[in-house]
Amino acid sequence: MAVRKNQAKLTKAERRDFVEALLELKRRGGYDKYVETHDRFVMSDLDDQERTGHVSPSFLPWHRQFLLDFERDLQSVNPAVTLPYWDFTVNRSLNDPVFAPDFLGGNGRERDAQVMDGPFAYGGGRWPIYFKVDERPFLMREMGRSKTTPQLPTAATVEAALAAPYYDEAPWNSTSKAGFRNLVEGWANGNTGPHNTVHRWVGGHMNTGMSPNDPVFWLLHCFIDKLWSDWQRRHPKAPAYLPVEPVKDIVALNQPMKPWSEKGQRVTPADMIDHRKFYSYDTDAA
Amino acid sequence: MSDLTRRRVLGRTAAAAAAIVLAGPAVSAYAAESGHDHHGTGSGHRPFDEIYEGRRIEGRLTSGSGGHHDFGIAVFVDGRPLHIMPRGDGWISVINHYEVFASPYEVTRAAVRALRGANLV
Ligand SMILES: [Cu+2]
Repeated sequence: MAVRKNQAKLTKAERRDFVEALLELKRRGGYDKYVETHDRFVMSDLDDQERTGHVSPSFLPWHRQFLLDFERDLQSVNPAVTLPYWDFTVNRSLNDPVFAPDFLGGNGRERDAQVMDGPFAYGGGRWPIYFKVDERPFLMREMGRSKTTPQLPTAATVEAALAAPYYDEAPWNSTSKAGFRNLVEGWANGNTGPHNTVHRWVGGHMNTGMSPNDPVFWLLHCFIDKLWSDWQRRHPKAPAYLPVEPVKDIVALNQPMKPWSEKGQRVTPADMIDHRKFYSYDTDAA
Repeated sequence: MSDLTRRRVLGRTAAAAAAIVLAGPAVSAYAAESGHDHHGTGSGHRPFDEIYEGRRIEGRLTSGSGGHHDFGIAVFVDGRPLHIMPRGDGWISVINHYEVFASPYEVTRAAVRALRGANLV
């Protein structure tokens, strides 16, 4: 069984293998379809229309399957690689090794937000940006420069989401008040929740619909994925997913999710509830 | 891989061309609460056309038969469409996707700041 680890606990060799698998998948042309798919759902997910990837209960199962597909592609390059997670409540400094040149690389420069060091710097020639919001062909970051979001989410913000007694609630969108899903996705409480806050704090591509252009996307979402499992363990009597019965425009427990249903693959939220079918986290009890 | 970029460009252009409709429910809800928004009106959107940080920003009212991405206004930076959408009681764009702004005008200005002089594609 594959184990997903905290990125801070990876060995030097594991860090290198993960980075090399990303670069090789990109070189083979297998990376950018994930950017395209994410953007397609970002563009179509609306508060009052059909929504699957974001602003809806299926945010968590949708991204769980999205990450699984991606992880399997990385494993076709190197079977030993798994997605690491980034606990941004702990590794929260710009000088943290997560942003070192042997791993994700550092901040974008002031002038144009271009990332200048590490494996994904444009100058290295191995990380051109194909799905662009604007003409800039390089990876962009503006870490810590957002006036509204100068800091990463704290452990208290994450704890507030984990403490939610139920998974989600009507109207099942960005205005849902207190369920785990919208607290962790982040629109609740004036858009202060962990997932959205990290997207804004990293900035550059991460603040756009094409956020998977930045590999930090996978480490963020792996942590969010882990939080869903942590929340389930914390609330064993609460339904792990809601709604159970179909509701207009959203995906209920046993309904198939796009884009997989478009490819003849049936993936429902119910299928995605237990991560241990697919992988374990290094914090799971043995 | 330039195929991908081309498709992306076509996708954006088509989306903007299709953006033609009356204000939907989300827009009305937003307009009702938009006391903080200098560019909203009680009945929908106010168009704008001005220079902001050296870039021409435009909000053109749209009207038509409706559709998934018709929100009553289409916005442009130097003539290129910026895809925006309502979120909660505010607005987001493809550039500022995880940050909510009070109005189409404000989200367009935020895009200009993020662009650093680059053109939208
Ligand atoms: Cu995300």
